[in-house]
Amino acid sequence: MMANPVEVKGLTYAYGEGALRREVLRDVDLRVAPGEIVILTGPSGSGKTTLLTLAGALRAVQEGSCRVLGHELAGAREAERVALRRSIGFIFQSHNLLGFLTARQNVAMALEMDGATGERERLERAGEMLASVGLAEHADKLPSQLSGGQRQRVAVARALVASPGLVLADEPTAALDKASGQEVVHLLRDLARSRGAAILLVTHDPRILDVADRIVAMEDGRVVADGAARAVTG
Amino acid sequence: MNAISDIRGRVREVAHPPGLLASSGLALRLAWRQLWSEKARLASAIAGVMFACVLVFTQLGFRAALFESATTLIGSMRADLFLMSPMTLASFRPEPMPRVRVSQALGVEQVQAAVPVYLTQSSFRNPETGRRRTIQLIGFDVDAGVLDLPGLAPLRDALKQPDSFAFDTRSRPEFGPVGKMFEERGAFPAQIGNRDMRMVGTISMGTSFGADGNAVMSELNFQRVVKQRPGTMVDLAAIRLKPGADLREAQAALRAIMPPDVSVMTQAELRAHERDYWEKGTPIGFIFTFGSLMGLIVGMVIVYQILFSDIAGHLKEYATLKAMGYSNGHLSRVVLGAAVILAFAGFVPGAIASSVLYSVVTDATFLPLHMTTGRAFAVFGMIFGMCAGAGLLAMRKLRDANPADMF
Repeated sequence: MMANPVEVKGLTYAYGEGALRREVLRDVDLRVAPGEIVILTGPSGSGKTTLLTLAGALRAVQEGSCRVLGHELAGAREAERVALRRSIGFIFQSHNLLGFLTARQNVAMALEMDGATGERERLERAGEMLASVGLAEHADKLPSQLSGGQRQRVAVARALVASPGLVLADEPTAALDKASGQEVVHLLRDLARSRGAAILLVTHDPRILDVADRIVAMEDGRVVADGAARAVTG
Repeated sequence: MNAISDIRGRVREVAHPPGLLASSGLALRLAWRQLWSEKARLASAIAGVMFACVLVFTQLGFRAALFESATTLIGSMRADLFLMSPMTLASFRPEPMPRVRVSQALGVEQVQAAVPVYLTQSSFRNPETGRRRTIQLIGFDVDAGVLDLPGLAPLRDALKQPDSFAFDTRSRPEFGPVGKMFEERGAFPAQIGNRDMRMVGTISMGTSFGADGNAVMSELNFQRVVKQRPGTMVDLAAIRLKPGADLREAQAALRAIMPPDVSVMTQAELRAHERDYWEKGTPIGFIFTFGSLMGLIVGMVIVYQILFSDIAGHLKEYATLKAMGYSNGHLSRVVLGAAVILAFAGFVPGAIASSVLYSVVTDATFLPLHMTTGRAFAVFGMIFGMCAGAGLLAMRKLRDANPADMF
């Protein structure tokens, strides 16, 4: 039996100290199974984004256990967290592509921290990945020459090119219109499925809830609902 | 859960990052791509480094030229040891010493010849305009062959004529077209101090910070010009040793017999003494060091600004790279890489511009400014350090790129 990509137990997290201490996560449990697509939803301030950054090894765990891709993050050193991030694909609200690199070079950047890859292999894999998000003929364009939807598709390609075991996405459709938003998340879902990557996706966007296998609703730092997509959206 | 994910969704081993060399190469390439993408900014950064480079080259060039020119006279003397008053700070303003010390020196076994040299500053009347300027007079025994200046050898006999002198054609042009006039009409009368003399030939020596121009003449003619000086006092004695004599032993022997009113120095020591005066006894050395430092600081600020704004303008992108598993160290290398690129890209045109400037300044001031390999390396080291320093300062901004704030 293989481990779950995300296995969170009793996770508590607070910002600030002393009188200013504000708990944003309270004793949270969360599991994402291999290949599963989980949407985290809830009002702003409910702690879902903090949970995402903890699972992404972007913050140090304070209390509780957070196992990601088999690595315990509680007490993990900065270098270990940095190394683990190379096995996680990140997609942000905005594409955050490097403006001075072409789409292909941007995607290849995700492979540069893997010493086993050569320059040619990186560019080849980046090209294939761009083809699978439907941007084969735009591979050598700069981000400024692409539309918003296309840029976010480049970001999806960048998140997936290193075959991550887990993809974390934060409001990936926030900057997109309905059609391109749908397109991007469906692309993300299909590609992640075919590669066996689990997805943990934070969103407010009700239009994309249908891609999820499971929806976890949060409120006030706690998980208030966790169930199959249909049950939660009801 | 579908079947594919069961097969493929295993926990991946954490990828090993590339080695230091490979990742430095990648960092450098990323830095270059970023710089190249904003050519106007790159150009202004390079111009800033170039400016610092030229400034440092100029300052160091002047500094070296000053020290070099200050020792031109001593360097041109064919002597192993020198006697000089210990009160003399620099040869352009010598304290006299008793002439008898020169004869005393001959009493030391290793000494082959000892000749007096007379130095003073007097005025020279521009033969064209009649204006006076201060000139360095050098009086010496014409037959002893102490001075080894280009053009001097054939003038020996001419300089023995009463009231004759030879003029340094590398003197500043304010003395008048003396060399040209000599070429056109041969020897002609000219006034030094209050005495009418004859200019009988030209030598090549060069100006220094102490002297705008030079005139050489025989001992006797020197005494004719400088009347107020008693003939029993000289300014410098040049001593040549017998072939095979040991320099240190001879120096010790001379010291042993000399009263404390003269010091015995080797040529190297005298040059160092002279250089010391300019370096420590005057603010000139400090001014040039300060000037170089200013250039480096200005350059550093410019490079820092460019690197800093590159990071500040791309904080989200840097944070994204951190989220993707790029370490702080790697991104620091990107910033340092940009600094190194700017160092090279600014130094090369800066060094070329400085070479051109050197020849312009040499023509204009007659000070010997040369581009030497040693100085080029030294300046490159400074420029490199300047850029690296700016990079290290700018790197601190990377801390603001926090991937946790990206969500």
